[in-house]
Amino acid sequence: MADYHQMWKDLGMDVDNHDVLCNVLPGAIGDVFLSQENRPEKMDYFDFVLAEVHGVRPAELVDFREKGGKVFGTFCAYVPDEVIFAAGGIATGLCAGSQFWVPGGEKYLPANTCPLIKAMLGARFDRTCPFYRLADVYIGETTCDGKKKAYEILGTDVPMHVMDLPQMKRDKDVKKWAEEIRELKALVEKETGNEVTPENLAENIKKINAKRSALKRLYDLRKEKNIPISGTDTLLISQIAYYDDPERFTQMVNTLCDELDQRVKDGVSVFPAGTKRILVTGTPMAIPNWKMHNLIETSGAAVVCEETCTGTRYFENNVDESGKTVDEMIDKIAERYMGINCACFTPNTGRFDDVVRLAKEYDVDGVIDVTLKFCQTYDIEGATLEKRLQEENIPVLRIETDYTDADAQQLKTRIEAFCEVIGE
Amino acid sequence: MYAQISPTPRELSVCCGISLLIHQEDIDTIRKLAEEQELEYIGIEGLDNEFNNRRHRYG
Repeated sequence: MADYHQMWKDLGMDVDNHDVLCNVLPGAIGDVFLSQENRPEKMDYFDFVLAEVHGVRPAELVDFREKGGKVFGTFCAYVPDEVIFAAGGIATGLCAGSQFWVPGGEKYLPANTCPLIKAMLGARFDRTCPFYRLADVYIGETTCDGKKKAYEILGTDVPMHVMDLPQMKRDKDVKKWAEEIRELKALVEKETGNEVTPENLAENIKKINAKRSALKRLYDLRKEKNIPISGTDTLLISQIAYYDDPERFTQMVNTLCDELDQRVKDGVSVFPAGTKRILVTGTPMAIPNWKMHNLIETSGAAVVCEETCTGTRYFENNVDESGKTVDEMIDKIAERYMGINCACFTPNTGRFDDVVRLAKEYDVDGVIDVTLKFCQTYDIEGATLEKRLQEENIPVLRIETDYTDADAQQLKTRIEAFCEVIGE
Repeated sequence: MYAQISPTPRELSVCCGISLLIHQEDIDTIRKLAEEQELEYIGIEGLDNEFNNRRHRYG
């Protein structure tokens, strides 16, 4: 067993405080994941990554940096990993999904800020997450007002580059996003000392497309009547997607899918026949936020799809690979990323269309719209989404929650009641 | 034979790390297998921990 204490100390972490997190996570992992029955064997890789979440990948990044490599921390599905990897850098997710980091963030932010943003700042300033120590540059984006202002505070402690994501989807907005990607390219070239060329960009467009295709394959398997993998396990895979080496991750997801293909042929399901099928939509669920999936899947229902940034928004639609020059490729990258339907856009009817389409594709009995507290854009949009789903005769339950455990039993009661009345 | 990768419980280690969850009745077989394969491990320990998917404590 590796001892990572020295690595954490060398990274300037508050090891004593970090030990508090290490103390509670094994229990939560046992309850949420290891208690499940009949899990696919090939979840073993993702269980391994989770067991060593602050160990094995950070150790790889330490090694990479010692050889002169640059690590870029990202917070959002809009930041194009293709460009960072093309320049020989590594992109790693920095979103934070634990209540453990929230009080640290509240030292810097108003209490009525969403828990994801508070956790981001807590993880950085309390020095209790190795990924936040390992990123040489943070790449932010203007996906909400809370994040924009939080990036100003983060920027006092770490090099910070913010990409200005347009808030509408007109042609000129797509062109504007392409310009932002060109600026990102210039930044990563300067930081890494490596030029982004047509060859290395094309190679990395293919690499990240392969990753998205593997996730699509995994999700397609959840459309089956016999559901071969739980939503909780799939959520973990989506969360790990932000952190892991993309090629290894793609290989491991495809290996898992091979096993799931066989399960489908054999009619194996991880849920009893007749279990209600749920689509979860709403705000991102950063690791280790497994609260809603655990609540839903212990309430007699199965999560079969997530229309979230830790779900379909992350992998739907590949980058068109027909670009020949770097400029053409960046235009294609911009088109793909501007196709993501986030509540920061106005109008955002594309998201409503996505939820309705996915509800039909995954044959769901109901939709649960989950909004993190104080996330204004998703909260406001929720009422319109609810109306659209009602017009389509798709039952919907709206939930607002945070990272604490305090409302778990209340939510469970509401979810159980919802699951009882849907699909009858 | 049941075997499940798991984070190492804090009662057994002060650091991150992986363990293999096994059934008590398989200990002798697995110990022998590990010796045959020359696997390095710290020890085989028992804990009176129970997984409870309805505890709803997420850290």
